[in-house]
Amino acid sequence: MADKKRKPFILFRPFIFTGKWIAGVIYFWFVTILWEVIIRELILNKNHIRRFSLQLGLKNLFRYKKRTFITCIAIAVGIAIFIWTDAFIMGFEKDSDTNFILYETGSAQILDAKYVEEKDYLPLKYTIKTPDKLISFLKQNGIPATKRIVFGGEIFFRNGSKQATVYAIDPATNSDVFSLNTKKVLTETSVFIRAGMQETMIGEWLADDMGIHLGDTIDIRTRTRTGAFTTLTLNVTAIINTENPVINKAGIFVPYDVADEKLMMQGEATDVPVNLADWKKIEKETARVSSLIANDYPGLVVQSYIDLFGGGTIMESKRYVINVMLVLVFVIAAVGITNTMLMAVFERIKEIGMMRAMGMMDPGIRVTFLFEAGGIGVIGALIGLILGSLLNSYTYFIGIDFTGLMGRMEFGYRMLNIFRSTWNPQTMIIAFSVSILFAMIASFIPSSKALGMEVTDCLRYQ
Amino acid sequence: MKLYKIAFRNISRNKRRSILSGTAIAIAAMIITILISLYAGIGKDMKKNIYTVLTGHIRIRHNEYDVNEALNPLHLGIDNYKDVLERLENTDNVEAVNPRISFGTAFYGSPRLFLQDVKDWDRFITLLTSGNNPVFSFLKEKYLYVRERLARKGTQIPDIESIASNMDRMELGDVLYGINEVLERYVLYDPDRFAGISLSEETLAYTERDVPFEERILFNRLALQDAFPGLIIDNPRSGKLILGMGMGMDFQKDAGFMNLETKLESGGIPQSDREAREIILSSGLAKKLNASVGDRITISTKTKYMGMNGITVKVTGIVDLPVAMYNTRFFFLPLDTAQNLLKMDDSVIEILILLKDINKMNTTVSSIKNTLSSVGITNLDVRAWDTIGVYPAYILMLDIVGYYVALFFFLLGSTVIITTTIMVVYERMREIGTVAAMGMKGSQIVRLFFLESFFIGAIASIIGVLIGSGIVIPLGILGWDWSEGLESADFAMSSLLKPAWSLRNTIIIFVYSTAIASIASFFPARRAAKIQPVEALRAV
Repeated sequence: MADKKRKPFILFRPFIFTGKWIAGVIYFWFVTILWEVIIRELILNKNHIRRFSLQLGLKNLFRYKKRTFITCIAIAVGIAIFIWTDAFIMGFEKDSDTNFILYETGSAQILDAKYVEEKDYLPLKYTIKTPDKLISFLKQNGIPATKRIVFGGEIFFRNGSKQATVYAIDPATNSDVFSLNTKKVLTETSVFIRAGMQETMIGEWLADDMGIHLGDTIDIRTRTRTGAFTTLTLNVTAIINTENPVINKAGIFVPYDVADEKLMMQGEATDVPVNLADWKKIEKETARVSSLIANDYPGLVVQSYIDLFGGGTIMESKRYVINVMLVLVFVIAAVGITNTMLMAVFERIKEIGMMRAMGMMDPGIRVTFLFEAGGIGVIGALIGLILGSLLNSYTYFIGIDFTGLMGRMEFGYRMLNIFRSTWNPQTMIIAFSVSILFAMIASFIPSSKALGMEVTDCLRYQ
Repeated sequence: MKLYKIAFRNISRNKRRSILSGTAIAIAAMIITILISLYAGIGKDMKKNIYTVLTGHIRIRHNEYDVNEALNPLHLGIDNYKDVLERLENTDNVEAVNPRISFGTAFYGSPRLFLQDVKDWDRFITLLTSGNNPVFSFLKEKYLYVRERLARKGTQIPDIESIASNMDRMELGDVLYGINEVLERYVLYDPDRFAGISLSEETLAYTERDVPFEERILFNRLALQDAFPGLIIDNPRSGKLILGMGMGMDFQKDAGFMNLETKLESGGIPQSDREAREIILSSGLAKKLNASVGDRITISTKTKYMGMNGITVKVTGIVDLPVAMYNTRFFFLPLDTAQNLLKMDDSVIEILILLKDINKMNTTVSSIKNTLSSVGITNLDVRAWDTIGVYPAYILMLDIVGYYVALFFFLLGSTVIITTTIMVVYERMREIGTVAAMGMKGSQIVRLFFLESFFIGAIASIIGVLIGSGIVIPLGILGWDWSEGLESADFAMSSLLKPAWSLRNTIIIFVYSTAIASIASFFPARRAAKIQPVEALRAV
């Protein structure tokens, strides 16, 4: 059902995810040929006429300053806006991922396979039976890990209550994976929860909403593993303010052993978050952990933060909206570049006729125009890169501050108020290359057309 | 000769150039049209989802409720709500009013059999009615006993004789209610009845001990599964915590708000009768619970007095709500059933109001305030929906992001248009020289180029916005389906997005694109007109 519904987007998907690579491959192929031509024609070739065509291309570039300038602007603005948009989106997602990893899930988690299917319902029956053994095994292999029990409950305070998700964390190992126990996160005189103590740590927004202060006592009513009601009475020793709005809004943390006893978990855990240092290669890392535990722990699976966060659910639909925008930006930019270039060359068919009438050979003319277009492409793209980088520097170093506007709003992304972009060299290189490619193709078409015509027709061409 | 005629001729004379520059303008106009409609669609949809489901155009609550909202303070209700309702209905500009009680609850996996838990109803009914099987004979015997007991309490369930596989779901639900009562009270297992049936380990563990009352149904389900493989499925709710948002409301007054009646996927609207105890589930929640029309589910929640209360209600309908976040959580019940459950007596939490004319929001708010204070009701907070909680920020943010995006695209679109137009003018420098040499005045040249660009711009942007509208309008009618997963975000966006095409925006985009194209030609043409004809003629 869900897959059927998503069909319209499939149109965009190959473009976004594979298009960049295809463009890259075409570009490198093109560049290789170009270099070969340049080296052969300009340096090795002693034929002065052909060498001349390259020099002419270069001269043309500076002779028609106005035209070059206008075309460059078209390319530059297109590139600048494209890379900026892309960097902004990437930055947004990167920050969101970071906050998700540091405060909510860890970079990956080990879970029971069946738990994954029913994760939304926070079941207590599919667990990791021997979390301590697993953690020490992981530690031997250089992977820090901790254990948690995640369960749903209702918090009671004064004359009110609220449904919440409660994280039972192991204070001893939690900091190996999460960044909850830091000065930045703990507010004022908060003290991180201690093992074996009836203590709790809650998100700042939640505390404000319910009027809870440090030192207050709250009740968490939940069910044990077998389904009986139970109540945890806990002293609030810490209020945390993280960069993750979900934790601020609904995060409740209790010591693992307290929950373990109350929920009758017998030392089991619902998940074991691990700290895989290299987030960029998360899939590879996840696979490594998978193969490590495959033998001794059948039935357990490793889920990366991407599986846990996106997993084809919340974010994908928003990512689609963003991708649609990126595609539209790309289309406008591409149209701008091609159109200006096409026009510039079409206007010069007469000139091509003249060159031919004077005896210049077709390949020479072709190289002249390609080289000129490539030159315009390079200059335009460079200006675009500089412009884009300037715009991006602002959003990278300073960011756009939505504080006050957003308030304490949560909208799926684990982001707070200041939106920062990132540097995405991949897009920069590709945008740079593709625009040059576009410029060259756009000049190739009309110049080829002119070369196919009679010289007299060229001269008469309007 | 008239200038505009020359302009037209120039345009048609050099078709290639006209088409090239036109294409740039048309594509820019098209993309801007699509984008703006898409964005306007999201905004409109979110606003509508907020005011029809959550706030109304105007919301009335107890004036201390908002501060304590996170605590679910049921005691801060509107006590004399019927009186208030009557006055509101008679206020000017009020289209519809609906009293509401919202409350949160959690469904912990119920072990009771739901209609969809039984895989093969034909077989189940044959077993039950034929009386050949010892297990089902026992079930039948107890069913009859339970039936009598329930009848004494005023609940009628069908007689064994009348049970047939062609019963409707509601009646079948009644039968299942009786069966669940049996399964909760009695233990089906008996070595004689289960002779020759191999039991699973889990079931065997139960046979070896005295099964406490609350675990009997678990035991019975397992035993049934062992004895009749394929008859019932594993409890799909087992161990799950399923959160729900209940909304007590007046279904008769729902028109204009959620229009639940039009969104029914199956079943009907509940009766407004305390004894009937009926509810509607959203389809996502129903799926999570594996519930269908005819099932009975138990809702337990905190009452006004902080105690716990539970009622068992019958599902009479399933609705499909457009917002994934609502559709996986909401269920709806008649106001009096909710009052009964929450021990709210005759009070409600909020009254939502829809207006005939939204532009008169402020006057209506103050006239409602006046009406209420004139009868001595001063403890109520009357608010326009765009001043409630996070919603103003939400909408503002939406608009601001919208402006940014629009600005961005206009900027990019403009560069494309400007570079193309400037290019055209510069390329024709020699032509300018010619016409200048032939005696055309500078101002005329400027006007000529301006007119040319204007015509090209106008035609191209018309084509552009038409193509854009051609893409957007059908999409707006059919809707564009996002994936389902907006569930956990605090985001009232429909899964089915309909771009909102508006004439106003389309005209603005048309005018803008045309204007940019015309203005872009102005400066280079003016410069060209100023230089000496000889210079212009020599230009390359």
